[in-house]
Amino acid sequence: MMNISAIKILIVDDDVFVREMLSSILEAGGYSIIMAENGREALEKCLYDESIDLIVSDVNMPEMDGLQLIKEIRTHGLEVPIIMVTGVSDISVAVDALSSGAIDYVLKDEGIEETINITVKRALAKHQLKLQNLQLVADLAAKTSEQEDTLSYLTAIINNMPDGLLVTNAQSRITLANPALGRMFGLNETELPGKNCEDAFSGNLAPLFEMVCSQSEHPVSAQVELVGGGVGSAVAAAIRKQQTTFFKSDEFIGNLVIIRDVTSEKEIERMKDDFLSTVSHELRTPLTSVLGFTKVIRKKLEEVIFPQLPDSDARSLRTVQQIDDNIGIIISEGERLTNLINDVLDLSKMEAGKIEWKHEPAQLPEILEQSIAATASLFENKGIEIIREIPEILPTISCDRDRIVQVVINLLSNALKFTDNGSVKVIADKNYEDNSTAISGQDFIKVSIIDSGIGISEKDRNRVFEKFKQVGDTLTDRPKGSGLGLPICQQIVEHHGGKIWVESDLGKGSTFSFVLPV
Amino acid sequence: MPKILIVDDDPNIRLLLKQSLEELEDQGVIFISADNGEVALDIIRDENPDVVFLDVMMPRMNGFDVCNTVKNKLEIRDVFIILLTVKGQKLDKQKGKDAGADIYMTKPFNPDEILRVARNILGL
Ligand SMILES: Nc1ncnc2c1ncn2[C@@H]1O[C@H](COP(=O)(O)OP(=O)(O)O)[C@@H](O)[C@H]1O
Ligand SMILES: [Mg+2]
Repeated sequence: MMNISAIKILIVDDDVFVREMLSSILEAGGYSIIMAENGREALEKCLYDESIDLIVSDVNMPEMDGLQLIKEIRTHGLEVPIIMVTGVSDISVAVDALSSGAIDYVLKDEGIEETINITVKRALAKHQLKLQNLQLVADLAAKTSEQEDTLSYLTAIINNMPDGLLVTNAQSRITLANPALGRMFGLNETELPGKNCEDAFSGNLAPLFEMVCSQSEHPVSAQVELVGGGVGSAVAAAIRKQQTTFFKSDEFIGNLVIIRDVTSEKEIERMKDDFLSTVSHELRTPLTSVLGFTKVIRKKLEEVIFPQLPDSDARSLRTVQQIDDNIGIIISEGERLTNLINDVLDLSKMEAGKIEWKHEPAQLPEILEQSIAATASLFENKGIEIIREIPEILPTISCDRDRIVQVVINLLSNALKFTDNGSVKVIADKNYEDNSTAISGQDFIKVSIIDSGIGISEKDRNRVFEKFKQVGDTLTDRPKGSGLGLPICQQIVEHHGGKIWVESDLGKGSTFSFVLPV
Repeated sequence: MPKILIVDDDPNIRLLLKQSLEELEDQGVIFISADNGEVALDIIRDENPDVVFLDVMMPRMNGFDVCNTVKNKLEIRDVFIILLTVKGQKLDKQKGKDAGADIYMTKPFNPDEILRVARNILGL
């Protein structure tokens, strides 16, 4: 409460004796006092001075009596509290005063000296409370209006967003559905709220129901069919209310499902798939002819034509040699083209998630041996030795065996391609751990293929996993290949939950390593 | 006389297959060819070839359907069917097995390999 001397009390009485008496009592209590002789004067003072905190008024006065004063004060919109001082004889007036809006009354008797002080204090306190209460109500109104604004914004966003939105409560009852949802499924979204998911969602919408009921910790996603044959991609997540007390876990209050129309994305994807398989077919058919007939020609030349040529003639010997070389080039380039087509197709299928991956238990040493065997003759031809450091027994891994073989063969052929002398080492190690994976308690097997070849410069090291990236001088030492081998390896390894990387010393050799989870 | 049926919609591939297998002609093998699945099916029914080199991607009736009809519907057992697919896609392999193909080979194929396979089957 404010400082007492700052509290201003207006005493209203036509009897100067009473005025002086009340004034001296209250002044002794520390209040500042002003006075008026009747209701009219009091009203004027109040209208003029808004800092008056309390009125102590007599009932019977000329010009304007106490009850009239109360009414006037209130009709002028003033909130100042009023205490009525009434004679003992007319106690009924006190009741009238209270019902007209007086805050309290005091009886004009010998005890007034004490009661006036108490009553004033009480009235001021009561008024203060009332004011605080009013303030609270006003604050609340402001907050409410603020929230109403926020709600309007949210509603506008929800109603105009292109994605379908569905909210359910903890009992799987629908609490919100937006117009986009209605459009996507060809239904009236305004009829949904209040319905149980199970009743509302049949047919196309059944997957949504399952999503809502799964109550999984993590967001779940599903593909749903939209009206008119479209495709939607739906994601559901639990809505949790944060608890103010921190030791309580967040309360599950419902689910949120967002559906995005991905029809055109799917259509583009399908067109790309169609395009790729058409292209691969249309490219392979002529390639089959080119490669096949070239091989037939080579065979015929070798078996029928060449033996008939006189082998004494230097010129025809040279021609035979040339034809043989040229045909060899046609065949090896044709095979390179075939591999390129295969790689492009493979990679785009992997990237589009169109590969059916197997998950079967496999022994890594067997996979490594198989890959080494597949490339052994190439190594022999180039005179590069393969050194194995492979434990006989390693934990079983679950993988798509052929694909891992593909990775190892790819790395081995790269190692061979970029190594002119020395050796290539194949190391397998089960105790692989690194900081990022150690926490999860997951065991990995690490495979490294170490060559003593040209190496890769620091700036190129990260780029070798990019598509069609062949580093080095493309004019002078452009290697045979597509630049797709490593991106394919990366797709395969990452699909298995592993990772692949390279370490290298330019001029000394490279180490390509990958890890696979056990 | 052993009979080999060659089925492919591309005339060059038919010629290539025939030339790959040419040596067998001297050993009395008879070649028949067809440029689509429907014709191939009629020939298999009427002529009882011993070996069929069957392309997969063909208009009208594809290789899978021909193979499936022969092996599973008509239940003709004494014919060896080699499906010629583009690249050994996993999916295609499975489809080929389901259709009852005896083996499959991928395009581009090696003519020598074609000859070797045919010799093996015919025991020549
Ligand atoms: N063992 C290696 N030593 C040096 N450079 C390598 C090695 N492996 C890959 N590279 C570099 O990475 C590039 C990309 O390799 P890759 O994706 O397998 O494509 P490609 O082998 O078809 O060129 C290679 O062209 C080469 O420049
Ligand atoms: Mg490579």
